[in-house]
Order: sequence, then C-alpha cells, then structure tokens
Amino acid sequence: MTNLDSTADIQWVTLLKNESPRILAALARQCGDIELAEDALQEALGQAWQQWPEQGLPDKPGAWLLHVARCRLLDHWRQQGRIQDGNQSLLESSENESSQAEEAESDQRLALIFCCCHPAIDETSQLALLLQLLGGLNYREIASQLMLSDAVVQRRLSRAKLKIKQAKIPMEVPGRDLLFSRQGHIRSMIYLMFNHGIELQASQRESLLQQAIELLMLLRKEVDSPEAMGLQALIMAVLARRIGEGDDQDIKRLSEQNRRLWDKKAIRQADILLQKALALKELGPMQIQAAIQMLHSQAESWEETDWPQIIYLYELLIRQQASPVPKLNQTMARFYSGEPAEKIWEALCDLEVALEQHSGFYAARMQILIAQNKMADAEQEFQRALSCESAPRQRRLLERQWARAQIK
Amino acid sequence: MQYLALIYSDETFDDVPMEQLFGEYRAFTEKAMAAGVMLGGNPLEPTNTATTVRMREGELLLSDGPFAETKEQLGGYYLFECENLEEAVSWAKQIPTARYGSIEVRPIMAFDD
Repeated sequence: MTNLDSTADIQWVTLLKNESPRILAALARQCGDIELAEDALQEALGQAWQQWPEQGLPDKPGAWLLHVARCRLLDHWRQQGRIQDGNQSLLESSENESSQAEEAESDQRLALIFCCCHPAIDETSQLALLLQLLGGLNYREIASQLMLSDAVVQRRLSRAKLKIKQAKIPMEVPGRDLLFSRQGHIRSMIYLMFNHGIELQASQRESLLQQAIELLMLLRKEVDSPEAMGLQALIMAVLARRIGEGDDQDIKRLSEQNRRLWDKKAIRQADILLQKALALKELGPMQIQAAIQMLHSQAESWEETDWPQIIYLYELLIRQQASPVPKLNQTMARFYSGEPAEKIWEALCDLEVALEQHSGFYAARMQILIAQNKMADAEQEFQRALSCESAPRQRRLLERQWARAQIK
Repeated sequence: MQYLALIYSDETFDDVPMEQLFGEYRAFTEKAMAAGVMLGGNPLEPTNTATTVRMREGELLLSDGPFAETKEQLGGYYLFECENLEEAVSWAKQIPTARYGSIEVRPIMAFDD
C-alpha cells in the first residue's frame, strides 16, 4: 500500500481515468450489458474514493477496482435471484484472481469497440459511445463535440446500449472475414474519436489520445495495415507536442509554441512507425496526415517548417479526400511559405461556399487581411469566426490573435 | 436467443421466376433446419388477402388490406435460434428475398422469470 497525499491526487485521478475504460470493457463483456457494467464501475470508484485516502492506494488499483465492481455485479444478480450457471463463471473469475486472467482481460477494449461500432448501430451513436466509454467524456462534452443537445445525446446513448443488450450484439473481436471487412470502419471511428479529442482540455485530451493509441495497438495485433500504423503515428506525433500546447485555459498555435517542451523521443518513435508504414507502399489519408504532422513536429522552429513538402502532401490528401478542409490548410501553408496575400485571398474565396460554417475559414481570411493591413475588413472576419466557434479555448485563441494584430 | 426475421419485398415485383424462388427457399429452409437454427417460418399470402382488426370502445372494426401502405410488404418470416445478432444476420442474409427486398431482424422479447 502506498500512502496518498494531496499531491498524489492528480496522479490518482489520471490513473482512474486511464484504468476505467479497460475495467468497463472487461465488465461489459462478462455481463453483456453496458449500463449495468457502468453502474458497477461507478460503485467501485465510489468505494475507492472512500477507502483509498484512508487505507492507501492498493498495489494493483486496476485489479482492485475490477474485483470490487464484479462483486457489485454479483450483488445485483443475487438481488434479482439470477445467480445461475451462466453467472457462475463470473463468480469464479472474481474469486480466484490470477495475474494471467488479468492480462487476458486487458484486451477486452477491442471487443467493446467492435460491439459499439457494429453496423447495426447508427454512426452518430457509435461515435457517442466511443467518446463516452473509451474517451471518458460526459454527456455535455459529447453534445458539444457532436453539435447535438444534451438530451439527444443521452437518448441516443441509452437507446444504443439497450439495443446492444436486447438484440445481443456480440461483444467480441469478430472472426477473420468480418475482422477484415470491418477493420477500416473501426479505424475511421478511432480517427473521429481522435479528431474530436483534439479540441478538449489538455488533461482530458491526453487520456483520450492515449486510449486511441492503445486501441490501435490492440487492433493492429489482430490485423495490421499501413493505414492503422499511419493513424497511430499521427496521434503519437500530435500527443508528443501536448506540453507545448498550453494549459486547460489557453491553447497555443503551432507558431507560438516552445518546441523545446515537445517530447523528442515520442516524435522519433512516431517517425519510425510512419516510415515502416510508408515502406509498405500503400499510401492512404492517415499516412499522409501523419507525414504532415511529422513535418511540423520535426521542424526546429515555425520558420524552418518544410512548407513545400507540406503543400505537396496536402495535394496528395486532396486527391484522396473530397473535403474542403485540407484545401484550406494547403492554402494557408502556401501563405506561410511566402506566397503573396492577394493570391491566397483569391484561393480562399473559392472555398467560401464549402466552408461558410467553418470558424477556421474566417480566421484564415482574418489573418490574410491583417497581413494586408485591411483592419476594418479583418474585424468583420474576426466576428464571423467567433460566431462559428463554441469551444471556449478556441474563442480565446481568436480573441488573443485579434488583440495582438491591433497592437501592431 | 430467438430472432424473428421478417421478410419484406415489393409484392408486385415479378422479375424472379416463382419456380426458382421456391426452390431457393426450400434449399435455405433445409439448410437452416440441418444447422438447428430454424424454429419456424412461413410465407404469407399477398396483402390483398389481409384484413385489419381493431377493437374500439368494445366495438369490432374490420378493414380491408394492411394497416399501412408501404413500398415493401411483409411476405413471410422465419424464427431462428441463434447465439447473437451476428449469427442471426449471417442467416438472414441467406434468405433469397434479401437480394432484392429487405429482412428485418428483431429479437424476441425475453422475460426474466
């Protein structure tokens, strides 16, 4: 037992956050009922909050939580008079806990993700399930990410969990054929989870990105592909910059970050993985995005960024993905590489119809107008950008950018 | 776990020769029976033979035809015994009508007793 003091609290919360998805997955797989598993885990966490400060941290907190949560599940079944043959195995695995069993259980997260992303569930609900169960987000956070109301998110989540239980959507990694046909979908759902995680507060984002990396590693153990490697490298390259990105209050742009704070070792590891993927000669959007992020992560300074290479990579991405966002990013890369503002302005205007709800589009136009010293026009774009942005940190970032431009 | 597979298709659609379709259905039924998943199943006469029954304030109301006009009509069903939805889907997709109609797979409600 380790003694707890207040400085350990943060570590403790992080530990619970990182352990929870794994424990939940093990419980859900055993009872086939996600809501029941969540309740059992909540009770175990409650008990931890009470006992740990007094008695100290157990040697294996994860195993402790799983054991307590399983006991709660059993209590629930006893109350309902449902301890039968089927549930006996749960009792046994709870009572003779070996480290081997613990190891095997650590892999149930992949079974959970295949269940939650089953084609019998609609895609928005799939993503909401991932963000909640594996990303650790609450209703409100999911609602703001998916631009839905809290009530709708709540309804969708409980409906999906009910369907999993009632229609008995299996909580298992599927056999060979289905595994091959569904791996691409699972990968893109992990990508969406990562994408929604980027805007979260620093502490939350870190555990979500870490979950995403671990899920990819589990998936790659079953079926590897250059794109899965590329996605993992992409998330690693982004995660490696987390300390330079600012705190929970403010977010820093790439150009403002202190690059010495970045995790150089993690960047190298991401690069090795990406090179391994690229060597397999099956280029796809995940690998291209990883390569772009890698160039940012490897540049010694904003000024030394390899813009020509980034512009070229965006060109490859645009050919593979019919989305205006890479086009916007490519246009701005051209601006940073020194192309004249007038030309960039024209290129941006071509994107207006496609991106009229996109705050980043107006922020880009604001930046170009500031560079041209057209401050009145720039202010209009600033206001438009603000009106499209709901995330507080992103709004503060815009306001800082605008304030700084006015001083100059 | 029991699943009902409801077979829907456009009953005016007559591109598939009846003889061939019946043959395919016979083969499928035999396969499902041999695998032990088949609990029951029947084809239905077309919707022009349907009568809809309602009781309102103690009074019997009968009407002609199905209760709702839809593009595809219920034409038959199977009742399967399967381990989970994945297995039920793996059988449902082999129902001959799945190629041009749709099969709705619904779990039979289980009561805890």
